[in-house]
Amino acid sequence: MITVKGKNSEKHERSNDAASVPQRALRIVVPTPLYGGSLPIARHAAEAFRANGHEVVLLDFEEQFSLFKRCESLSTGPNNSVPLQATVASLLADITAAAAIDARADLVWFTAQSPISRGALRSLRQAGVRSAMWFVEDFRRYDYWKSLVAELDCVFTIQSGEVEGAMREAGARNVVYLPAAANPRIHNANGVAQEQMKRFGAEVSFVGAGYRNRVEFFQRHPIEGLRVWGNDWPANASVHREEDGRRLSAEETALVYRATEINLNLHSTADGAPLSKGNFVNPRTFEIAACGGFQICDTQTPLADLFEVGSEIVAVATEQELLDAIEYYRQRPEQRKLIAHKGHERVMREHTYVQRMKQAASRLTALFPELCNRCERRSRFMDDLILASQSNPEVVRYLEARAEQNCRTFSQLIAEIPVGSRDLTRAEMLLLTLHEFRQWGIEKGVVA
Amino acid sequence: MVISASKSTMREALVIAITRMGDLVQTEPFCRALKRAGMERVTLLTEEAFVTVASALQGVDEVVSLKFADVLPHFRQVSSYPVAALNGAIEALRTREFQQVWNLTHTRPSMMLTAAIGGSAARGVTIDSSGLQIVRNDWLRYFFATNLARPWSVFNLVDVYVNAACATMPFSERIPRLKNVENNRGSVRDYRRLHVAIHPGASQRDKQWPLDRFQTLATSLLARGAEITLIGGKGDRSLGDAFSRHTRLANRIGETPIGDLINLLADVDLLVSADSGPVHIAAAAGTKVIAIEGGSAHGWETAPYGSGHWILQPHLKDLLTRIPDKKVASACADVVSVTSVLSTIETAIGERELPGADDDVSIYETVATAYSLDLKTRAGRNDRIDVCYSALRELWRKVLLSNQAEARTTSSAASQCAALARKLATAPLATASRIERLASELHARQKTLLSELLTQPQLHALARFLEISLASVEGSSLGAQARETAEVFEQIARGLEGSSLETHLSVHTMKHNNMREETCASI
Repeated sequence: MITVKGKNSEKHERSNDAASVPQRALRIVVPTPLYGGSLPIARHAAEAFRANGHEVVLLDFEEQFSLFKRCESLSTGPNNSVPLQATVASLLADITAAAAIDARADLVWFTAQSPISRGALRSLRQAGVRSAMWFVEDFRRYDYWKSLVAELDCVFTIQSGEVEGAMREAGARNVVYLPAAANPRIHNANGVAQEQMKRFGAEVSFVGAGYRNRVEFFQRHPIEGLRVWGNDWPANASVHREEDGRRLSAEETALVYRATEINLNLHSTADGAPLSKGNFVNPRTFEIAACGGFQICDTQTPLADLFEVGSEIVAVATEQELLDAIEYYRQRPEQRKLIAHKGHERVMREHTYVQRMKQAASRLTALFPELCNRCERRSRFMDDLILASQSNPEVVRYLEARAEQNCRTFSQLIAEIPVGSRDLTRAEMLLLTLHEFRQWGIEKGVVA
Repeated sequence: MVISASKSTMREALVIAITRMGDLVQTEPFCRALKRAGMERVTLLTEEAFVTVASALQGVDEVVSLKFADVLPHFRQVSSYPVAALNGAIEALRTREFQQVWNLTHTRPSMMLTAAIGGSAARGVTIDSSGLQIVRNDWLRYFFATNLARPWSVFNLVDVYVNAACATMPFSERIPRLKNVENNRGSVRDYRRLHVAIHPGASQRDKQWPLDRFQTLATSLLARGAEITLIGGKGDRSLGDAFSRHTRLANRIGETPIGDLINLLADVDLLVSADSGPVHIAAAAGTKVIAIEGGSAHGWETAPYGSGHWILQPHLKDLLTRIPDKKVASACADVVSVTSVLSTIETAIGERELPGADDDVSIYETVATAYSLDLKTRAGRNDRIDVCYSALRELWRKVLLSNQAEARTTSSAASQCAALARKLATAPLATASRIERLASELHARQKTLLSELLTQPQLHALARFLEISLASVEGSSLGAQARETAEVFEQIARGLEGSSLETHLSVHTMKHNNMREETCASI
């Protein structure tokens, strides 16, 4: 069963800046990946769009992961499981497109690893639904984006620099830099209960998947008091994985960040180099800071644009610098506390998903003015009525033709029907009939 | 709703009746009248709650229902508006291409349903192709007009419906019939063998006779040896608790589904009730009824159909002078005493003649005429009111039943309007300025006629009828419209011609406020 969460189905953070909430919202469909680190990011994005006043239809595909995994057990080897899994992914992509078209969405916001296909993207384009993907991964690590970016209306990347040229070469028309962020509903400095401190606390922690550079680093440098959390570590890795190497939830991860004295933040590297000077800042950077956790991060090109290195975050360029920094800050709790506090304030001020999604929506409406025009002209009421009328194409056509008449209520729409001046259409007759039944419901007190 | 969507080769009519149970029973003779007028099959569309009653009506071949309780909540949210459900129901019926679609309900939803299903085959309150409200059929215009000007409704609802389809259907055929119900009990002339059903509830509070009077009545009947069964819906259960326990009193309130209620009412000798659904079921089952009118109910319109029923009609004190509206047709039922009801029961079972009636209350017995139900005054001196009703019935018969092409006189405003409209009918050959002048003159005369009619409360319904009829003119050309307009004015002129009410109009042009006793005296 696909979980579709409509408006008001969950509590969400409201944007603090009331004036910045768009007066008329976009209707955005957000499909999530089936699993992995991008899954919570898609959910955070959906929550943030909603907080910014947009109408969001969240297609949460996590439950389909079991089906995806089952493909592996049904087949005799990877040669068979891959096509089956591709079929599942393709089906989910088609479902996404159908749901977006049914919901008369303005935009589908994909996240890296969301089910997506060229066919689905073309269907969306034909239906006039814009598509964007937030590629929250290292573009050099994966290349699946190459076959997709030409069909997307816009690609947002957490990397800057050469990624733009690479994507444009693959056919992308719009490539926009949009760094990762934190979700203060989950990533906050609310403190840790004693029991949780016992379970998640550590002198030094690392949370993340067992990429090669990390495995090798920890193998080379045993660190005193280190606890490692996360999945997908090789069975022969030297480090002990807490709780059998299970994947922590976003909430549990936040507890680790808060309960740890020194959080290590090692970005994954495409070439296996232990610490490379990469060109993107991972979500973990923002999340640790938002949790009020102290972190030592490997230096990334954009890091200095996002944080005051040294006072808000500690960055290291080499393995030795990292080891030295661990020992240095291990002895200086007051410094750790001060840096963590400043980092926390910076994230809350500038690097939340609400702010990121506001920037994304703003960029999209600038790129595609018709989105803005549709927002301004078309009322939510008309969209809802069109949604309710899907079974009747004549009524849908009638409403479509009047979608920009600025009718905000059913009574206004009915008042526009030119009774007495010409023969009514069947659609008008049906709408008038609905109107009378609605009025009856109001008289009987059934309808407010 | 499950509806066969196949088009029938028979001449089929659809009747839309989605209001109350009593009205539904009164619809039954109409369904047979439709067949008498050429329809071969009659389908009834009703609210799901009334399906059992509708299925028991003899003239109905098929019942389809809508469950409005399920439809209306969908209007709470725009994205869940029941577009598909409503459209599906309409289309399923529309594709059957009924030859006639009759709307016997006053509500606007039923008006739209009728139009959407029937189009040009719609009868009664509907809309024309441009969406304007019209009423097709003279008797249903009367029905609509008198609903706006109660209490001057002078024909029983059964007669109104039947005449709309087939005015020549004789009285004996007009009595509502229920399937598989026969009343074989003879007349009871002894209290000790009398079985009386008492229905102490009513669908509307203003119609209800006070509960303590029902209690006193029950006590008196029990003391005389009668057997009593209390009936009512589940919502009336608390009413039953107010009655003293007695071995000959059975409290069946809330325990009788419609099927059982029909059988129970067929078995008793007499029903005492306010205007309500059981009154009409009892009459259809052949059981005599004593109906206590009040509030929005009015004996001339809602009396149980058939001869030998009894109506206690409390008249409004200012009946002859008040501006009629659609809500109040009678005085409050509490002016009717227990003594009057007991006396009426005694008269009904032949024990004695009625000694009299309460002030401002008429006790009528229903009697048959060739083509309608009439009310014969058996007690209560309300002559001026009775004369008014008699004159009005005559007036309306001339308006609605006469076949005369034109009124003979040309003196009345109505006749003058008719003459002007006739001139307009030939005006397409005339100049635009002449058409404009004629139309302007007609408009002025029409205003005069309406204001004259509105000086008398009894004629308010006629004024409404005129307005509705003019609004319902559908001719496709100016000439055709003018001819239809002329026919409407001729109808009005026919009704007023020679009427004692018109005589009064011709000599008095008084303001309504000044109209008091002398108005009544002149009728």
